[in-house]
Amino acid sequence: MDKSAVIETEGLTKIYRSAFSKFQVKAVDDLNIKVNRGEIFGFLGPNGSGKTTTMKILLGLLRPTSGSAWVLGRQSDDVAVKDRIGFLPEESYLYRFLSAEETLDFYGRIFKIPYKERRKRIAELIELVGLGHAGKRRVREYSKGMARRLGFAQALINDPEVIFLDEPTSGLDPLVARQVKDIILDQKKQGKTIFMSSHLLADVENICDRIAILHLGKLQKVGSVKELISSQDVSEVGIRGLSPAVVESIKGLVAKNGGEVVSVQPAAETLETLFLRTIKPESKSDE
Amino acid sequence: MRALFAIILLTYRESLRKKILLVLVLFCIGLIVSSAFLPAVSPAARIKLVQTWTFQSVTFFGILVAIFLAAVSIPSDIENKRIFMTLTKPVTRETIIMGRLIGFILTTAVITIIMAFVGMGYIRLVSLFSSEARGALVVNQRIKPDQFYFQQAPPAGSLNGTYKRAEIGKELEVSLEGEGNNLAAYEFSNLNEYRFNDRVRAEINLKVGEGMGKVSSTILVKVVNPTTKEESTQKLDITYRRSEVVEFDRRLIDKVGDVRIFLYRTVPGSYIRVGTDSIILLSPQSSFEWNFLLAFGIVFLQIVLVLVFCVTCSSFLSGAVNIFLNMFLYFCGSGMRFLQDSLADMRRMMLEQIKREDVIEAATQAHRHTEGDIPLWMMQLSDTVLDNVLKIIPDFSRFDVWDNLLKGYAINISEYTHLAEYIFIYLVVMLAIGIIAFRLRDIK
Repeated sequence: MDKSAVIETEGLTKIYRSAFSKFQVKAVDDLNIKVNRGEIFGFLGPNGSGKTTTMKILLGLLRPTSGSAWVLGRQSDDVAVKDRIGFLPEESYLYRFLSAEETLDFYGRIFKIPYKERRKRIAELIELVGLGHAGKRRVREYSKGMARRLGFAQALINDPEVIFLDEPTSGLDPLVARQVKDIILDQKKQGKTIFMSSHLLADVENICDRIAILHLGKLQKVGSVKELISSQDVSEVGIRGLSPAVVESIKGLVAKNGGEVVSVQPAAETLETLFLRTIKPESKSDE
Repeated sequence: MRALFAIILLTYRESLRKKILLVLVLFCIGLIVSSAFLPAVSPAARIKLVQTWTFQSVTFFGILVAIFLAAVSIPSDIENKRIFMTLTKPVTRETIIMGRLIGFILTTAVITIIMAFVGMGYIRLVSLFSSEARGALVVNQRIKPDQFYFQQAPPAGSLNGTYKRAEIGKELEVSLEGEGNNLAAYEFSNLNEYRFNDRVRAEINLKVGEGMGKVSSTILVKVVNPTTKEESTQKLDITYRRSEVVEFDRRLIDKVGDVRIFLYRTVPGSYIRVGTDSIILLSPQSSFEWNFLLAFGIVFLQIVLVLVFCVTCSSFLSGAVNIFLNMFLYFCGSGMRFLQDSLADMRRMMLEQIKREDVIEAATQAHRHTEGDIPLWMMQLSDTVLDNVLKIIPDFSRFDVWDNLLKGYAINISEYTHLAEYIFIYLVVMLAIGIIAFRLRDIK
């Protein structure tokens, strides 16, 4: 185990077996990842790739079939770890009969936060996620965006060192999605480590330091976003001073027409292209 | 500890904010109020009817509330994935089970107390309209005899004996019959610690008969002061198994608080079956309210036992299956006495069949069973299965106290100790099963 890693898995494997037949599914297959302190780590993969299963093992909700998972230097199912982590699930699974304040109070009590500090923290978080006007309303009256923001607030109630976010921006309108991304970046500034899974590649590309791509339970790629989306066999040429009609010409024509080549560097493909290219061969073999 | 308290508080809030609770409580109050308008032959009968309806309604709805709230709580958290939010916080799975259980116990305690006071107030209100009704609310402490003697005429006379309560250990019943004189005697001691009016009331429960088919007879009841030998005798017409009350002068209890009561047959050829508790003295107590609250305390203990099963089974069953299972357990457990009697009958039949088969086998030198009888092995298998199942199912008939309320018998505090011990055993076993199952469960 690497002591500098905040999250680490070694040979992590999870097999789901049917109780009444021999049918079994390998949801996670020999996964090895490390997440360093203070980074935003994106966990990508299509549906059924094993992202949520991995996250549930890291959160101690599932037990691995083999291999190990550590969070903050302890086994992931150790209750002591949970004092220092926050979790926002894919949907905000909240008690609909509670108000936002009561919800945060419930989770605050679980973290043994003293009364005065708890009241202060609840007020701060409700303001942070923009629910100041609806703190006393029952969750059943909330829109999806409001419930999501409250879910985010509960994940931060204990001022966690590591935050797990499962699809934090999915299903949100662009404005709320922007607010959520701002909160994530703000948490990073405060030195928090963030482990997030998402389908929204543009979001991941914008805010993640490193990413891992998972497909059919196996780790396909891992590295920094820049590193992974750089392409070695294609160059990007930055040209200045030409009319749009000439842009179509190749590099040799630039000099011939008196233009100036200001930079030559490896061109970046989008994360979306990389993602599709990574999982495409496997998908075909499935068919 | 704070995590536990947080879950208790959550459970309490959740229960009180659920519509099903409000609906059941309102329905229960509706039933209680309507009982006063049911037809009754006298004000005393009406007040007993109101009392019975109140008690039975609160018991039934209390159990329903317990099952419908507690059986679905954890399964619903798992199904709606709210459990993800809780289990990713510093809280153990056993804390969730304990918190839920204590939360529901607290909720049902509050509901039971409110309903008990509503019911009690309503009964008092109805009783205000008639002195006869007020009289029917008197509560009596039941005093069992300390010693029981009987004397049988020959040839059954060899069974004559004296039985002390402490030595008997279980119910004993003997038949006094034949042509000779025979009697049963009951000795009561230390009665000075009880309160009696000038006329002391004694309840007599006997099985009597005269020859073929007649199930009633006349007996003599003689009450004797053991010190002064002063006595009073009265004739009493008794019908089989129907309790009758006789009254005697308070002075027949001697200074140290002892009295003897003798029962004689008056008709030669009749029979009376007497037992250790065939005569019980009734000591009036002032507080109907206290007795009513004690009865509700026992209802609450019964609800606690239901909650123990609902919450612990919810750690490994779905909500619907858990509701069904607990309904089944409650109804089987409430009919436990009937089930045990059936089992005893089955055993008797089995023994008779074994005897018959032995006779046939001896006569014919061949093993066979009587035509039309259930095969012996099937009876033995049913007996073993049923016997073991009945040992597991909680016996809710132990908590049945409505008969006490109906007859105006005082409920003893000592009954709480026995019931609490009984619940404790289930609590420990079921919590262990629930916690282990919940710990091993993957939350997908």
